[in-house]
Formats: sequence, C-alpha cells, structure tokens
Amino acid sequence: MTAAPGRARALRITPTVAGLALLVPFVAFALFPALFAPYGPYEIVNTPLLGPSAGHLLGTDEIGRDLLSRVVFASRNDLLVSIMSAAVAFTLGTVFGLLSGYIGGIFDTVSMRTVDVFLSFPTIVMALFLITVFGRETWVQILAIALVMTPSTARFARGEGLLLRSRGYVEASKVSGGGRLHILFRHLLPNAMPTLLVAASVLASAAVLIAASLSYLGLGAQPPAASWGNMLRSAYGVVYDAPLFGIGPGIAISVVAGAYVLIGEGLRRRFRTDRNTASISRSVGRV
Amino acid sequence: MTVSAGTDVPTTQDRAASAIWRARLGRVAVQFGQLAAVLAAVSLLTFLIMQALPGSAVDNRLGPLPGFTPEEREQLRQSLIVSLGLDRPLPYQYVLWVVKALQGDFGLTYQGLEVSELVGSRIGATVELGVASLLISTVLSLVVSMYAYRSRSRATKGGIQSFVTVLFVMPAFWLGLLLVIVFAAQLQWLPSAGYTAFSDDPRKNLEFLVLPALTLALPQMALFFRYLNAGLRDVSRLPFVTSCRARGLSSRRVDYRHVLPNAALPTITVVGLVAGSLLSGLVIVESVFAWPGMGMLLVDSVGRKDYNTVAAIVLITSVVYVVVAFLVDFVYQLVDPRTRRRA
Repeated sequence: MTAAPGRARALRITPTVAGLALLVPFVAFALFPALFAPYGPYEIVNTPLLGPSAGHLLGTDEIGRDLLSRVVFASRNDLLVSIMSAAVAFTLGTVFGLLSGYIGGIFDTVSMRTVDVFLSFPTIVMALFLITVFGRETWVQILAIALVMTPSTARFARGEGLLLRSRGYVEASKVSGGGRLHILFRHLLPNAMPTLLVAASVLASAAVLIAASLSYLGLGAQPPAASWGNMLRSAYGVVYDAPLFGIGPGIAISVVAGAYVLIGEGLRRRFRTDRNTASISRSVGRV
Repeated sequence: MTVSAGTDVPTTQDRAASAIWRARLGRVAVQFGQLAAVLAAVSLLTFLIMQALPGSAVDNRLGPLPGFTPEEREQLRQSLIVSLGLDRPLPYQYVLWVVKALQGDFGLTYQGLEVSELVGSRIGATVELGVASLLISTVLSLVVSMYAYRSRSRATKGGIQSFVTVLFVMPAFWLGLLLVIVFAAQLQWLPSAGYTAFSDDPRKNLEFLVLPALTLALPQMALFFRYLNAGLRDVSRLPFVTSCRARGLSSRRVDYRHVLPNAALPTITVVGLVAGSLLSGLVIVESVFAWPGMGMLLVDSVGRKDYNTVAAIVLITSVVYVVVAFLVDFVYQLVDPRTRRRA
C-alpha cells in the first residue's frame, strides 16, 4: 500500500472524527439547550400537530409545543443517562472481569457463574424489573441500565485478563512482590485499556438504545419532561395526523448511538487492537 | 487373567471407545449439573427481587374492604398471611414458591385470576410472532449475505453493509414507527396495530402479523448477517475451497454447497441465543403494535404492580433462555464434531 501524503492524511475523515462531529452538537444541546432551542420545552407556541415549517423546523407536538425545542432539551437527560450508565457498567465490569481473569480459581468460577445467572434475564425485562422495584428517578435508571450491562462487560474484560495474565511483565511484577491490586492497576488495566475503550463506546451506544426503550415504555423521564423515547411514544398515537412527528427524536437516538459506535471504531484503528469492533459489540452490546 | 472365549475380551480399541463414552457421559452430567445450578440461581434471584418489591401481596389481595373495622381487617390480614405461608421463614417460602411454580401454579393476579391461566392465554400470540420473526430474519440474512458475498460490485457490498449498520442503531420502536408511517399511514396496505386470532380470521391475523414481525426480524437479520458475513469471508479463504475450485466445480456450486454450510455453522449458536432472548424485543414490539402476547402482559403487569404475574413471566423467560442456550450448545456439539474433540 502506498503511504498517503501528509496533507491528505491530516484531512482524512477518520471514524473518530465523523463520530465526534455527530456527537458534538448533541453535547452542546445538552450543556446549553437554551442557546439552540427556539422555544422553551414546555412552552405552548402554536396549534398542535403542525408539520415541519420555517417557524417550526420539526413541527409541533400533540399540545402545540415546538418539537425541535423538545428534542434539544431532551438531549441533556438522554446523554447523561447513557454516558453515566456506560461509565458505571464499564468500571464495575472491568475491575471484576480483569480480577476474575487474573486471579482465576474459585473467585473466577463464582463470578462467572453469577454473570451467567444475570445474563439469563432478558435485558429489558431485568431493567423493567429493577425500575419497578426502586422507582423511576434518573439515578435508578442509570444504575438499572448499568447493572444489566455489567455482566457482559465483566465477561469480556475477563477474557482480556486471561490474555494478559501470562505476559512477561505481569510475571516479573509478581515475582518482584507486586500485590494483586498493584498488578491490576499498573499492569493489567493500562494494557487492556485500548480494547476496553472500544468496548466502552459500544456500551455507551447500547445504553442510548436501552434508555430510549425504557422511556418509550414510560419508565424513563416522566412527562412533561421530554425524552426521545417518550416523544416517539406520542408519535405513535398521532401517526395518521402527523406522520413526521417522530422523525426528529428517532434520528437523534440513531445519530447519538451511531456516533458512539463510530468513535469506538476509530479508537480501534488508532490503537490497532486485533479484535474487530463487530466481535466486541457482539460480546458486550447485547440489547 | 485366563482367556476363555475370544469374543468377550475387550480389545484395546473397545476400551478406548468405552473410555471416550464415559468421558462424554461425564461431560453431559457436568453440563446438566451446571444447568440445574444456574436454574436454581435464576429462580432464587427472581424470588429475592420479588421480596424487595414495594407494597405487600397481602394488602393487594385484601383491597380496600369497605364496611370492615380496622380490627376485623387486621384479623383477615393475619389469617391470609398464615394461609399464604408468609409467616414462615424465607427459605421455606422460596422452596414452596419453586415447588408450586414447577406444578404450574404461580398464584393469583391482583384481580384474583390464576396467573398461569393469564400467562397461558398469551403464549400463543407470543410464539406466533417470535417464530414468524425468526423465520423471516433467518431467510433474509441467508439471502442478503449470499448476495453480498457473491456480488462483485463494491457499491452493492458497501450499501448492504451500511444498511445493516444503520439497523444496529435503530431501537425497535423507531424502526416500527417508520414501517407504520410507510405501510400503514401512507400506503395503507396494512393495519398499524391490533390482533385477530388465527382461528377467527387467518387473513386478518397475517395482516396484523406482518409489521410487528418485520420490526423484530430486521435487527435480528442484521445480527445474523454479521456472523454469516464474517463466516463466509473466513471459510472462503480455507484451502479446501481452493481445492474445490481446482477440481473444476462451478463457482455457484462451491459457494452454495461448500462455503455456505460451513460458514453458517457458527450462526446456529446465535440464532439459538436470539430465540432464547426474544422476549426482550417482544416487550417493546408487542406494546408498539398492541399484540396481546407475554411481552405486553409484562409491561401491563409492571404498570399494575401485579407482581405474581411479573415474577412468573420473568422466571419463564429466563428459564427458556437458559434451557435454549443449553440445547444450542448440545446441538452444536452434534453438528460440529470438532468442538467435541476439543472439549
């Protein structure tokens, strides 16, 4: 293969760049919704169920609120839930999985059988169950989504732990008296990080979809607060009167979920991990 | 050892064969043991989460009871607690619950119906939708992946790849909405939601079935496609494929008779696992299309705080998943002898 000239290389659109380009607007919406939304999220501004027009780019909803403004204001909750739950699942899953793979023995057997048990509950069913028990607050949502994603993350990280356990530098550290936690944080974690980061981006993408599904089912942000999932739910009720109602929130979900996947793919190429993104998303991103 | 009749003496080969059989049986026994352990843990976890649920089953059963004094109400409450066995220690209650569940008795709903009857009345619709979606997704993924594999055009391959990738970031209710907009609202070919039993009106039943089945099937198709695509690519590089070509087989014959069966083998596992975890997708799709199956029943029961029903459905689906995963493993060992030897 011929090497690309320097200038063309710098201009090349990598998946990371494309992913960030898709994600950044939504981060901006989440941080400063009032700057981008033409109206307030609860403001009734026109007749209900108008189609897209110059005044209302996405039209109005069933009680006459501006849909674009609601999509923008919903970004905060949807991004917060997806990023936080991915972060929690990632942290718990990584620490348990790496330790499990590294220590092995009884600890490994017990934690992997526990993972099996949790994985045998269908994702949405488990999340539904947890939210019913512990309430519908945002932090419960975050923890519920994190908890259903943790087992598969742990199993994935365990594989990495097993892989790294026999590496020379780990053995060397053990021989020179490195403790388990020292080895975990100084040797296993940094070396597993590239692959794990790709897994994290897949997790974030899965989290967006799970969060949207839960709020579609009425278990996420409670009305009148806007979320992409509950806007799509309203869209079904009026599909004959305002067919384009759900397009905006739907695209928002797909764009954000897709952006995370793209960033992960970019990271994978950057770090040159030998696993492909598809196989990672197969192991951690089961929705 | 005195040898009397040559036929009775186990030869070295016989001994080796019986050792293999013993090892095989041992492995099956271990697998059954693990299956039983996971099932026990699944039921225990379901039971424990049930204990954590807010509100008590007793108060739900009692209802408001107008015209009773607080003392009379309390008396009724106590007698109900005793008759339901709720005064016993938790381990006893758990065992009782499991034993009853094994007999198909999941208790009563908060309206006083038998949970097993309610759930049973919904299984048919769920199975119909689930099987239809799996059939569609399996056939579609085979056709699409073979088409992409045999196509020489990069544009076609790229187009199919991107379509599949987009399906991965579309939650079911968003994909379903697009299908409803196009096929129900605009073209008016199909109804947007509802259900008619097949025995009442087969044609109507199928019309109602198309959109929910497609909504479930497309993401499954995307998943199967990924596996098939990777499988086709890997298998096509193996030496035996070159040898087939060298012997002068037509490329069609090589692709369909030699590459595809080998590439499809690992996909069996995925199809099985998807079949086992279908309920996650069904929860959303059934409530989108008002399809009266177990998924919709689950969502409704969560809303009504009808915990016995919730527990029954959660237990049934997770048991189905565990058993299906076990069977898939087993079937896979039968179809692919290589996995037997390695274990």
